[in-house]
Amino acid sequence: MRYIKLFWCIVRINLLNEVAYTTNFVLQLIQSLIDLGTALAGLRIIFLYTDVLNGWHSSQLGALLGIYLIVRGGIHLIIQPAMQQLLSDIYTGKLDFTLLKPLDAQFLASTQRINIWASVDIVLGSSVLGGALILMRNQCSPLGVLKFGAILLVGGAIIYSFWLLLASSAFWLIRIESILALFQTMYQAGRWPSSIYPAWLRFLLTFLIPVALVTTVPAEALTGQIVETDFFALLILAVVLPILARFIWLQGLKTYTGTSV
Amino acid sequence: MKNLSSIYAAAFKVMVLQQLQHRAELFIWLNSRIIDPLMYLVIWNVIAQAQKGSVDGFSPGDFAAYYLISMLVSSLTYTAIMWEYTYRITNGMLSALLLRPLHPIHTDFVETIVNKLLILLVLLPVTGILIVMFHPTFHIRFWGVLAFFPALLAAFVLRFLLEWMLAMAAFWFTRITAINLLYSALLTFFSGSFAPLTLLPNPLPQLSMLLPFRWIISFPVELITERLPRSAILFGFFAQAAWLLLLLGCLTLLWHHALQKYTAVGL
Repeated sequence: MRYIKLFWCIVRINLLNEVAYTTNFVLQLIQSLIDLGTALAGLRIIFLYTDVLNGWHSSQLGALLGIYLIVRGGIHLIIQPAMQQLLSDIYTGKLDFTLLKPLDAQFLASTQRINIWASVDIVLGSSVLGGALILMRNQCSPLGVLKFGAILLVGGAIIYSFWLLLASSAFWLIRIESILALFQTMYQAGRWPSSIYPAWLRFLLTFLIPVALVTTVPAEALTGQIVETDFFALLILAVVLPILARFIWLQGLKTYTGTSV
Repeated sequence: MKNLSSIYAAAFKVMVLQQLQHRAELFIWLNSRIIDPLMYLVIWNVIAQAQKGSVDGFSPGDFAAYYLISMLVSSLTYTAIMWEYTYRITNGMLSALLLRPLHPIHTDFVETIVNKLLILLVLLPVTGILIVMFHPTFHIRFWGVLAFFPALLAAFVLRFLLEWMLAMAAFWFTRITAINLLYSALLTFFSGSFAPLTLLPNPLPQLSMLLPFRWIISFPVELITERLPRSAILFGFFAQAAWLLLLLGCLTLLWHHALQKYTAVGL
């Protein structure tokens, strides 16, 4: 309860800080629209040549695109800014200040910065998803929607744990910004259903970087064509990754020497 | 001229040492130049299989050959200058560069060349692995290969000049991410990176003849995959030359105005 109140307070501070810079909002909106336009144009060209892409109709791929944008918006909203701050704090020793506070350091480090403008992507993604669902009509039940929400949350937990895991490696490796950049380019691959990739690439995307799962499985849940192995892989990751991330984080804190500020 | 060549030689040595310092980063940035064409290749392969083996004359093997070469060309012509320029201006780093009695474009040019030579070390093995994985079918003819190299060289210089010029927008707007994204989006479609230009709906293929993007990536790829009639080859080289001259002119003209806008934000 205390943490929820605290989180709300952090959100409010970030909001107040950012609303002063409205140009950032306009820029973010323009960037997101360009990005969305590119993606839709790509889909349009693909469906000039085929009606179904490996079992996925254009409206289903539209839904996937919407989910991709929502997940990406979520990452840019809270996960990425906090983790990037964490990386620089480990490097500069500013993490001392976080550790001194009488609260869980992982919570503080993971919520310290919020980029509210990234919610533009979430709004755009939701509209794309909504539009795609209207085009699909009766293909989703209330139960499917409920499942979808639950799976999206689980996916969020996986992505967060994965980022924390990567960021915690900075306790030993110090400079890892480029590893994060690597993850971001891999994430692009989540725009397309994981089943179109050849087996070796799919394995890489699914297990080394849980990209495809986090976007594909919710889309499958929504369109009622869920693949059971995907679903179970997602569940296993959702249990294992947060525990592993917490463990590595705690180990990392033990090796942290800081004090360079 | 002799003066400039000795400057280039010195800059070359410095840049090699500088880039070897961050060698891991070189290859991590290369990653997205590899992932994107792979994604498109996979998608078009899936479509080709669904359409009984070929899309508009492209079989899966043709697509593999097209995208592997496209990957090579786009990696070998890529520059990061549009993403660095804002940083350079907001940090005041440009001030130090301007103090030198040399246009900063020269060191950037050498840096890009060094970068290309170094990434070849990774790019060639990666291409080898992908050839094994995707079984491309190459219809290589002597003249196509011979024409490919000058076209690639011209594409490299053309892309460098174009992106350096567009990056100068940072003098006026400071934050140019939106411009960069728009440029990337146009480049993706009009350079044949997303799909071979002949597959795009009308009037995009015709439009691509007028824009610079085709001559940056698609043209060398079309040459080596033998998809161009002879008249189109001549036109392509002509277009590259025309764009090079035009860009050189614009650069010289704009640089003068840009410098007057420079206020070294941040320092």
